[in-house]
Order: sequence, then C-alpha cells, then structure tokens
Amino acid sequence: MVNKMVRPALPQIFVYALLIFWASTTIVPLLWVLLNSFKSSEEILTQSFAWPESFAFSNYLKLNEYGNINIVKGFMNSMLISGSVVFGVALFGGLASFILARFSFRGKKYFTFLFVICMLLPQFAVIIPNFIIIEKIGLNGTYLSVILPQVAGNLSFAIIMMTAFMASLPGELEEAAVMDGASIWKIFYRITLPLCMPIFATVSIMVFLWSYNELLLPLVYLPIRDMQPISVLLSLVSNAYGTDYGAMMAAITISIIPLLVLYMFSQETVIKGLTAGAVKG
Amino acid sequence: MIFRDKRYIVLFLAPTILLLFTFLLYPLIQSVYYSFTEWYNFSNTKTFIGLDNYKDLVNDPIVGIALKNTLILILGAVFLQAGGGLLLALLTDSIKRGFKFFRTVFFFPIVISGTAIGLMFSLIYNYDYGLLNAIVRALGWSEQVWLTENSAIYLVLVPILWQYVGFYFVIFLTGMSKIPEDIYESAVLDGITGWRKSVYITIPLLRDVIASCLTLATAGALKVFDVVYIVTKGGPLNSSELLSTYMYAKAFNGQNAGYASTIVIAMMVLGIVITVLLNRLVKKEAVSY
Amino acid sequence: MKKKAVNKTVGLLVVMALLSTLLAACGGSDKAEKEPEKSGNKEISLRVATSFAGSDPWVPVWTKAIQQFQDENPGVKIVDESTPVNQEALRTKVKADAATGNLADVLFYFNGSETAILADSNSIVSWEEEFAKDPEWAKQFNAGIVDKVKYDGKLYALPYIGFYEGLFWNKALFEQHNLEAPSTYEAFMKAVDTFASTDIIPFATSLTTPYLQEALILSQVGPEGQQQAYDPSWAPALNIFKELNEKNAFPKDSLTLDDDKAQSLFASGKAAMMFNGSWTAAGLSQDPDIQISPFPLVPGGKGEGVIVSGFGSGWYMKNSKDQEKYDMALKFIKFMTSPDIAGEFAAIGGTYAVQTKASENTAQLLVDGNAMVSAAKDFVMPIDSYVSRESYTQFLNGIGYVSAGRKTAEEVLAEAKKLNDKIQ
Repeated sequence: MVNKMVRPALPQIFVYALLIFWASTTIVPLLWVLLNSFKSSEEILTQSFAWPESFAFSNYLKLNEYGNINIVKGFMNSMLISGSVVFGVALFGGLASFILARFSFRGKKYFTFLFVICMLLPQFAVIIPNFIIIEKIGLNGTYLSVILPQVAGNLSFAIIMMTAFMASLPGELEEAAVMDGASIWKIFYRITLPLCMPIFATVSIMVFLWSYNELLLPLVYLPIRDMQPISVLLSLVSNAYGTDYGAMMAAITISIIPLLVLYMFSQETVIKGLTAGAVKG
Repeated sequence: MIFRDKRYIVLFLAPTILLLFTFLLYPLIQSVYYSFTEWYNFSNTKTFIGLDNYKDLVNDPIVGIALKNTLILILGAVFLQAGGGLLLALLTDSIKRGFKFFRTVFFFPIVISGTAIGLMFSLIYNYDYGLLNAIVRALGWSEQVWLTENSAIYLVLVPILWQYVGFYFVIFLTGMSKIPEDIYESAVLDGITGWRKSVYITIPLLRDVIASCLTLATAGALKVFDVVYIVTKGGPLNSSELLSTYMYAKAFNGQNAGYASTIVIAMMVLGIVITVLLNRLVKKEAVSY
Repeated sequence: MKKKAVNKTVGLLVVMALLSTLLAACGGSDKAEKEPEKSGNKEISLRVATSFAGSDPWVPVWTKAIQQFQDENPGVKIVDESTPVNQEALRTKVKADAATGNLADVLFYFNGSETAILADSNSIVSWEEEFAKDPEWAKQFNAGIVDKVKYDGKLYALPYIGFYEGLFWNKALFEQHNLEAPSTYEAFMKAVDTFASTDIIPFATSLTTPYLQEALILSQVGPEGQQQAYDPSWAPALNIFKELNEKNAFPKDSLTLDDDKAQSLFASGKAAMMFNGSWTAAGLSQDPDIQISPFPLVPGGKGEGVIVSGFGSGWYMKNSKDQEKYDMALKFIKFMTSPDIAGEFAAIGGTYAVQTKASENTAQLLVDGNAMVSAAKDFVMPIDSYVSRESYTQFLNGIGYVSAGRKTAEEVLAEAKKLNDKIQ
C-alpha cells in the first residue's frame, strides 16, 4: 500500500477549475431568485434571464399587503417551530444513537431496520392519518401539532447519520471514564456529545432547513394565521387563478437569509480532522 | 466498547420509539389496511375490496412508467448525487485556499425551495421564452421542444440531482472531520499524497458514511415531488411521472386514498429492497480508528 | 458510588421532565381549546375558512370586511383560517377537518361534488329554514342560481361570487391578418390556419388545463348532454383537440406548459386566442385590443348560446349546537352577503348571485364579459362540479393522449366513465 516512488498529485489548478465551475452553477440560481424578485410576474415569465427593467421593491411591499400575515411574527413562529423540531430531533436522536452505537442488546438490528423504514416513508403519504391522530390526542391548533410530526419525520435521518458517526469514533475516552466510575449519562454528555458536535451541527442544520421549508404541514395542521411559520408566505403567493411569481421570488429571498446565516454558523463546528490529542488522551 | 445496562436502553430509546410509532408506523400500518379498501374523499365509508387495488396497480401502465423513472432517479441519486457530493468533498478538502467559500456556496441550492428551482428550470426548458431556445436561436440553430416523452424524465432529473449534491457534500465533509489528523500525517510520511490519499485512506474510513448516504439517497428519491410537479407535471403523457408524484395525484387530486395507499406500500417495498441490496454491497464491517 | 447514583437520577429527571413537558403541552392545549367555548357569554370566537388567502384577488376586501364585522360586533373574534386553494391545500384542510369533526363555523368552499362530503357528515346547515325565517334576506339571492347549486334538492352552499369562461382574442392581431372575429366555427378555424402559418401561436392553452375542453364539450352536446358524464357523444368534441393539435394551433410545448405561462403567451401578444375564465379578465382588461366572446358553435353542436359559468363556491355554515355561536355565524354570513359588502367584492371582479351595490367598474372587457353572461341563453357549471375527482383527473390527463393521437376519444371517455361509476 505504501509506495514512495510515485507521488502523483492532481494539479491544483484542475481542482480549482472544477470547484469554481460547480460553484457557478450553485450561485446562479440564488442570483436568479434575487434579480427576479425585482420583476413583475409577466417580466419573470417572459424575460426571466435578463437584467430587471428596474429595481423596484414592490414585490416585497406586496407581501406585507397579503392581509392576514405578519412577516415578523411568521419568522418568530418559524424559529419557534423549527427550533423545537431541531431540539427534539437532536435530543431524542442523540440519545437513541448513543444506545445504538455504544450498547449491545438483542434485537438491535431490528431497530436499525425500523429506522430505515421510517426514513423511507414520505411525510406527505401520512398527512391525513397523522391529522386524525393529532386531533385524537388533542394537539390541533397548537404548535405541537406541527412540531411532533416533524420531529418524528426527521428522527430516522438523524439517528442513521449520528449512529454511523458515533460508532466509528474511538472508544478509549469512554472506556477510561467507565474506569473512573462515571455514569452513562455523564459519559454521554461530557464525552460523546462534544466529540459528535460536527454531526450534530450538520444534522441540525438539515433538519432545520427541512422544517423551515415545510409548507403543507403548517397549512393543513395549523390553519391559524397568527401561529403559522414564514414558509406559509410561499403558499400564499399562488391562488386559484395563477401565481404571483414576483411576490414568490421576494418571499424566497427574505426567507432564505436566516438559513444561510445559520448554516455558516453551524459549519464552524465542523473542523477538518479531530485533534489527535483529544483521542489519544 | 459496549455497554449493556438495560435501563438506559429503554429510557434513551423510548421517546424515539414513541414518536416514530405515533406519527409514522401507526399511519403506515393504517395505510396497509387502507390499501385493501376503496376509500374516496377521506370520507367515513371505507369498503374492504381485498386485492383489487393491487390488481389495478399491476395493470396500471402509469405505475410501470413511474416505477421505471423512480429506479432511474434512485440510480442517479446514488451515483451522481452521493458520488458527486463525495467527489466535491474530497476536492474541497484537498485545497488550501477558499475552503470556506466553496463550503458555503455549494450549499446554496438546498436552501432555495423546490418550487423556485422548478420554476427556474421550467423557464429554462420553455419553448417560447426558454433560456435553452434563446441560446439555440443566438447560435442560429432551430428551436426545440425540450421536454418530450423520451427526454422529459432526464431533463427533470437535472435540477433534482443537482440541487442535492451539496447535501451529500456537507455530509461527507462532516464525516471527514472525524478522521484523526495523525492518520494523514503518517500517510504523508509514507509518501501517500494527493488522490492516493483519498482512495486509500479517506474513502475506506468513510465507508460507514457512504453506506448511510446510500440509504439517504434512496429515501430522498422516494420523496422527490415539487420540482417534477412544476417542471413537467409528470408529463408529457405521464412520461416523467414518479411513484411519489403519481401517489400525490391519486391522493390529493384524485381523492382516491385507497389506491394512493397501495402506491405508498409499493414505494416502501421498493425502498426496502433497494436499501438492503445497496447496503449488502457496501457494508462489510464497521470501521473504527 | 453515591455520586454515580445522583448523576443517574439527574439524567432520568431531565428525560422525564421533557416527556412530561410534551404531555403537559398536550393537556394544556386541550384546556386552551375548550376555554373560549365555556366562557362563550363573554367572547364568541368564530372560525372561518375561505379561499380568500394570500394573493387571492379578494383578500383586501375580505380582510376589511372581517375588521368591520368585528368593530360592529364587540365581543366577537373572527379566527381567519383561510387557506389557498392551490396545491389542494384548502380541500385537504376542509376534508381533514370534516373527517375529524373539526369543521370551521363558516366556510366559503366549493360546492357540487364537495357539498356531498360535507352534507354526508350531517354537520352543515341547509338554508331552507333560515330563508323562510328571513325572506328579506332570501330575496337578495338570484332564485335561478340558487336552484342550480342545490344538492339533493337542498341548498347547503349559498352562491356568492360567480365566474364565466369565454374566448379571449386579440383584435389587433386579427386585423393585421385580415381575419374576421372568431364568432363562427369557420372563422375560428380560418384564424387557426392563418396564424399557424405565421410565428403567432393561434391558440394559447396548456393541454393540462380544463378550460378548452369545457367549451368544446358544451358546444358539442349542449347543456343536457353535458350532464351525461363521459357519454360517447362527447367524442367528437375531443377529436377537435386532435384536429387543432395537428393544425399546430397550440403552443409547441402545450403538454407540459402550465396555465400561467399559456396566459402570458396570450397577454404578451405571442398568441392570438385563449379560452379562459373571468378571473383572467381583470389583468387583460388593460389592453384595449383584447375582446371576449362565447366559444363558437362546433359543427353539429347543440350548445348554441350556452356558456360555462357558475358559482363554484358558496357559504356553508356549521350546524353548531351552541345557539350563540350559531346566531353569530348566521349574522356573519348575512353581513358578507349584504349588498354593501357584496358590492365591494364585485368591484374586484366576477358575477354575483346576490344584489350588489353598483360599483364604478368601467373596464370595457369586464363590461363585455358581463354582457356576454346576460346575453347567454343558459349557463352550466363545468364538468368537474359533478363527477368524481379521480375520474376527472383521469379524463383531463386523457386529453393530452387524444391530442397526440395516442388514444382515441372513446377510450379516454370509457376510462373516465369506469372510474366515475365506481364511486356512485
């Protein structure tokens, strides 16, 4: 496996060319959304890839006139709902992953199978049965009516990712802690959790993103405008007779800003390579 | 290292099992029952009809198309999405400058809703105002109808696959973060650098992450919906229908919940079979450092 | 050892606390829900679910009207649960509400086959009794329209805003090509042929939208024939799709185009004709060249002078056991259907089943549209108001196949009929 003779390194310029090419395909749509948010619907459909005729903010102002929605409140609701979803997923998923990665018990592989089944099931396939359940346990009209199904819907993803991450982490630190007589709970939050920060951060941002963009669930489960998240704005730009594409672009523009900021923060915890010292102790 | 304390097993798994059972497994079990019934409009009357829905499913030509397209999508998701994400992660990890920049911009497509991505691509492919035809015109060639029965599924896969490459990119970067730096250091001492480092060290150490990503890619493919709905509506002539879009059309536009449940069951079976097969291919033994 | 036990206890407590928070939240919500009902004497809260949400054109008027009602009736709180109709969100919401016995107190919702679901749940009011109690109010409703929206001989959905569908055409383009107005089928076909040889699209439509099909079938089989769901006599109308498609009458990508983009082809002068609903008229009325007329009679057709028009939605009221709530919901509906408020709704567009205070809406296209409605001999609701949703989805999907010559009209009709028969 070791070969000191050959040292072929992919020319860096090639790597950069490829990365820059990909970056341009990912930046363009964001710019497209931003530029189109200054156009009228008509202009978007007919002149979508041209520079806007003028930089008017009428689409943004229009969102405010959608009568019964308060954008600031929508953001707060989004933070509350998606924040709770992330918290629930990270907490319950973290605990479950710790068990799957570090405990040995009979029937463990059935649990893994169970999580895979749950992950394969699309949320919209169970939207009506879930609604009936929510009604039965008396959650309708509360924030929990959208939080709990989303926690459940994202748990499998989180558990599969976090278990894989934890399982491959070296166990020396935990073994040492057991020797010192630390409790399992303490091992979890003092040793495993800090080491798993990168995967927690990544899973959390993804779960936040999906929850934040979830549209049908709040529309159907939480029809009270004062409690609805900002994603509902995006459903309001369409009506029976067509879509206000200008307003749609404006709604997307204002709603993705918090996501990008959160993403950048979360990825700061994902640093290249574990520090050797932490593992070797 | 392995713990065995049963109390913790029960306690730590309980909330997860409770939530999954209430909001996913119980509805899924119900869906199995619904798939044997005739149930319209979510009304109060469900009639047990045995295997009739399954017979319809087998004879439904659109299900055949949707199944084929879903398989194409899963293959694309596994190789192009997850594979592309891995490649980008390896490349980004190997560079010295601009790491943070690429890490940020590669994530952009995911934050934009599928609705907007769908609209953008429908405007790219549009005949009269589309970007592709504008380019073609500028080059002096003749305009094309881009979304045809043969091409639609592939053209609609472009935005779907492209949008989520960044997702796998982030997952793989996260996976790489746990590879201890000293492994690389000793590799460098042994003269392993560049792409050989990726092939011989990084990829093997990421095997468990790759295995999870295959499951993710399969699950993701079964959930794709909004982009297809906006770009082609499953057309022309149902040629770009997926199981998910067809299920949605039957459940919400057609209000035939019994048949829609049958499609859900078919999707689940397909997903389980593929996940099991893929994992057999990849997973041999869990790696630890 | 002692320390270990303490830590375990802490861990247990944290988890238990979280679980109990969840449970408490469940319990708490129950109380929160029931409280307003108990203290009904002080404040009545009315849940209203309508399609007036977001970019719907009537949202500003609706919001203002709710405010006005609350100002006039202190102690009443209107909980606006309006949901957009697109992506079937409103349908899903109302059906899920009905399935769980949680229907809003007042609904402005689809009638026709949707009425059946609500009526079967036995939780909505049929209006005969209230009409008898308040003849003054009942008189405001156009009796002919009321008759048309009954379900099983009973009136559940009070008709309010109506729509019509018509052939929009661009007069400037017709004049440029020395064409006559498309008032006869010959003139229509001549226009199709003429425009097809130019770079103007003759007829802007998506083959995934229902409008042209409604016009052709009504024109072919007339109002009685249109009631015979998916009768083989509809076949000639569907074959016209194939004929038009072969003549290159439609946009090249009409099989995947959506209605918004088809409309913009017409609005921007890239297409000469379009058959669409009155909701597009307000936007088009800024262009003086846009005309509206009924779809011409097809050869051998029975639908002369008949248009597709109707009242696809109406006001429903939940049969609330709480008398105060019942009365307030009734008051709210009477308020909304009063000439004053209806007049404000009318200023936005549409035709109305109730008397409205005159508005000074002068856009010529809207005036012409209303004239077309009053000149019509009869009007019928679109097909989807009385067939099963599944059969209708199948039928619409089949039109693409007929146009492309991949299925015969008879096959498509038989497939749809089979699905429709299943549900009856």
